[in-house]
Amino acid sequence: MGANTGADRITAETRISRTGDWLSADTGDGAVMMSPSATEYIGLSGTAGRIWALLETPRTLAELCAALAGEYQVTPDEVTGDVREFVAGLAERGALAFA
Amino acid sequence: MRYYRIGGLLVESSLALQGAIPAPPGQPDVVVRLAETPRELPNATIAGPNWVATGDTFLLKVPNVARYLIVGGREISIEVEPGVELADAQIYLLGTAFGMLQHQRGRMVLHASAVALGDKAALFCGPSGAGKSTLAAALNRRGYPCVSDDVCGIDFSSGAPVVLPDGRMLKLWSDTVSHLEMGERQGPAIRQRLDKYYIEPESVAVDRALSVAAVYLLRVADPERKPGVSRLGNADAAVLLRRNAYRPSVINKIGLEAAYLGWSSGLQRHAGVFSLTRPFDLAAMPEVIGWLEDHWRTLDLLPAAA
Repeated sequence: MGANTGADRITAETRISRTGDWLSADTGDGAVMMSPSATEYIGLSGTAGRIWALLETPRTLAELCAALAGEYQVTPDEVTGDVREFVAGLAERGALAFA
Repeated sequence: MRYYRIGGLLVESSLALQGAIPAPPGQPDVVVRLAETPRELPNATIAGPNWVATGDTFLLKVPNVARYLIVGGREISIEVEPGVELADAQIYLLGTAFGMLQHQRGRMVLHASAVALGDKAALFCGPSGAGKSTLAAALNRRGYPCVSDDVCGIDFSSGAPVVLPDGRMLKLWSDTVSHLEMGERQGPAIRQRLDKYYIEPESVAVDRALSVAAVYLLRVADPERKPGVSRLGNADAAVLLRRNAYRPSVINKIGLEAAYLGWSSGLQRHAGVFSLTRPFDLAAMPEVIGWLEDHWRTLDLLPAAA
């Protein structure tokens, strides 16, 4: 895992945004993403698709988790760990950037 | 001049197009001519092994057969090499050349056959030899009108995917023909050296565009792939649809990958993308058709079984 993209480096205040390098399209039940070289695809369904959709607007990890928690009727603490891992994985592939 | 309906387009042609369905004369969408055709495009920016392209012009060069110049989604000029039968030259016209023409018109083009389910369509994708035409012919005998064979142009201009009726005759290998007892409807051999025949479909839905309801990727069952129908995941659907584009090697070079991503997600949103895994055996066809009809009932495309 890259030094700048590791899940452990993402704090509640880390701002997460799409890099714009990956293309994505809405599949109805989620999204499908294509790498800049058009050689790698990632399918996102359920909450993964929702996280990607929410990141159309850059947000901090805390804001993202609060938005998800509201939609899925759980507490932000319950989702933070999974969300952090998920965004770290997309950042590792160059689809998300942190500031 | 002769007129045909190909990919929903009215085609005016100076040569007879064997296998295409004749149409009444009218203002053509596409004009096909035998004419002098360049050997190269001077400003070509992209090229493959047997084609070059620039802007809205695509030059297909089939060695020892013909050259095809496809311009603006409206014109195809063909120059046939000396001594080549027109019937041979038109194989690439109805296949690759019309596939590229439909791309120029902003359509998704799949290597697929399609049948009508009322006012909707089911598509079957797969590479050559995957059994698309055979399945379409068997469904046709079961009463489902044939919408297109081999090349399927899909229009998204109104948002939802619509398949343009093609009416091209089914291309089947002769052993399939005899098994399906369609022998009495055999047309001339497609090519002298290929034992494949055009078959006039029993009923052809040529007169209207149909909403795409389901797209199936044909697979052969093996110990790791269980037979049946299953919905493909988002990434698998995108990858497999792009792989079944007409032609994948060309669309990658002419920069249509992003368009295919959008189109494949549109098919997932408005229709559904599934795998159809079945034994590669004609004897299993009735069973396979049974799976499809069960699936169509679950999608409300057919009335529920009594």
